[in-house]
Amino acid sequence: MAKDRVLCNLRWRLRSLAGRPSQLFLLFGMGALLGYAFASGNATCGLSAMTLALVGSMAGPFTGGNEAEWARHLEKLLKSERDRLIGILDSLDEGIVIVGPDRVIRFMNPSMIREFGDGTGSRCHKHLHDLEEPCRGFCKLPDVIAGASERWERRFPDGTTYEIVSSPFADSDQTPCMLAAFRNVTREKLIEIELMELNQIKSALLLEKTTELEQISKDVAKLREEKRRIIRFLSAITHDLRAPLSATQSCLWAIMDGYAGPVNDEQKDLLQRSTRRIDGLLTLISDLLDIPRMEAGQLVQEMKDLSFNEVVDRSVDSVERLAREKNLALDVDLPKGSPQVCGSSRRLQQVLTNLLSNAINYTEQGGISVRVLAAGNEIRVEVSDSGVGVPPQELPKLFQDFFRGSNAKSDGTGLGLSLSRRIVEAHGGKVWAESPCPETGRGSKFVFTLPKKTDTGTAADLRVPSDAARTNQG
Amino acid sequence: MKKPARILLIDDDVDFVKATTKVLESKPYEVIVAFDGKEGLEKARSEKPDLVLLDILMPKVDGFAVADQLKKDESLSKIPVVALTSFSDSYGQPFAFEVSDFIQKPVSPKDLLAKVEKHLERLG
Repeated sequence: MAKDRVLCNLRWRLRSLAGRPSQLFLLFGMGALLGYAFASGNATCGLSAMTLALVGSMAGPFTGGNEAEWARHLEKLLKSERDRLIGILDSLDEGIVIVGPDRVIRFMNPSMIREFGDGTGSRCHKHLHDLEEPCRGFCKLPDVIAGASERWERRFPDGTTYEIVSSPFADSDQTPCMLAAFRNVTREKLIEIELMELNQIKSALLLEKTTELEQISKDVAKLREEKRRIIRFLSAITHDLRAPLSATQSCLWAIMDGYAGPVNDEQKDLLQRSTRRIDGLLTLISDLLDIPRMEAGQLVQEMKDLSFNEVVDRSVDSVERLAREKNLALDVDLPKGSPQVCGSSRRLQQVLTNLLSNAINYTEQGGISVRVLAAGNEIRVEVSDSGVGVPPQELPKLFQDFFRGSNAKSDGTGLGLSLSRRIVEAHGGKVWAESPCPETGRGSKFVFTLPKKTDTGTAADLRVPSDAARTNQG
Repeated sequence: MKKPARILLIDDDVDFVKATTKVLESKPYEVIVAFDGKEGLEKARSEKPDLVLLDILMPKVDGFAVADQLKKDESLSKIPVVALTSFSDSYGQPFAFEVSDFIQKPVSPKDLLAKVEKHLERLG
């Protein structure tokens, strides 16, 4: 009697479980096996070894005990298992759906209902895919029921995308069904698509830039060739312009200095005037031809370690004749151990020669002095004269391109000082002009600095007149 | 009496050569003249001068090539070579060949003689 009651109770339980297909896999398997075992009236026969072990261990304390208690215990056990499985299904992020062979939805878990709305009892193709008829293209049902597992992706027109895994599943009534898990991968897909688009854009940009770069390098090569041609042309022009002047100058100097016979003072004066004009013309040609290099920022190219005193000596040599001809004193004051600089000897000579010849040009009486001070990390060069001077308001403008001061003489381009400034700056130095006597406005002082090479001698501040110091007092 | 020093002047500018010769001949120097690089090399080989004054920009064989040849010839490689340069000659690139010294054209007689003397003295 009691056994019958228990069996009846269990059958009812199992039926109620079967009526709610939310109890899955293990529970169904176990329930079905237990159902079968009880129905056959033999608690030990027909149970699989695993189930036997499970049930045996749980039922251990009741063996030979009260059958009703045992049944209650089993019921409790089933209930707790059932609750756990329901809990798992409820909290699963994936949507779970079970579809019968008639394409009718038998079960949906809460996630699935959230995504698609409750469609239990509706046709699968209508409810899930919004199709009037099952579509052969993606309906996996026949294959899955036949035992195949499918993994596929379903993208809806609004972009929502699911990854679907469909597996065969025997429902509690043993009906072969399809169990499908839906995972919403819309976000991942969007990111994937965005990444793909970004990659496409990247490739397109890369191609564009590569083409641009190729074009640029072609243009650069063309410009370089152009520049080489211009430089060759300018070189040729400079040579052709300077060569006749140079030869003329050499001839005039030879006459003037008496190498072709005695020269009287009057002749000498006229020859001096000629050679001075030729000098000016030679400088002008050089300055003009420096403009393209200046614009290209290539005034100073070859830099090497130099003994600065030598640079000063050579510059002084080149203007000595000019000073002598005007009876101007030319004092040179160099530090004992020559400071070392890293630079272009030719360009630094150009700066000094420019400052010196300006000083001589604008001075009629008195003299010019060059003073080189090496202190700290710096070489400071001062070129002072007792000439007409520069109005104070013009001092800062002197180094601008083509600037001509109010006291400037008629010849000259206004390029010499701006070239000098660029050369000094390219060496990391500064150049400026001062008015040494603002009250009278007479005289001027041009100063430039250069960074000193650090590994030079220490006698820098010991000031003695060098071998090169000279005075040409008329 | 000491044998006069022999100077080979290689320059294509006749007027410059004329003036320079005048200046050099004021001293006890014998001046040998060549008007292009080829002639200059020939005269260097036949005359074995004490000093070469060498113009850079010349037609046919230029000063760079002459200096190069002189350095390669063992019998001539010891002769000091002073390059005569125009300011524009190094337009574009620095000098990439070996010479003893440079004189920038135009050069005053005084500076020319000083340079020449300096290099001849060095020979002893």
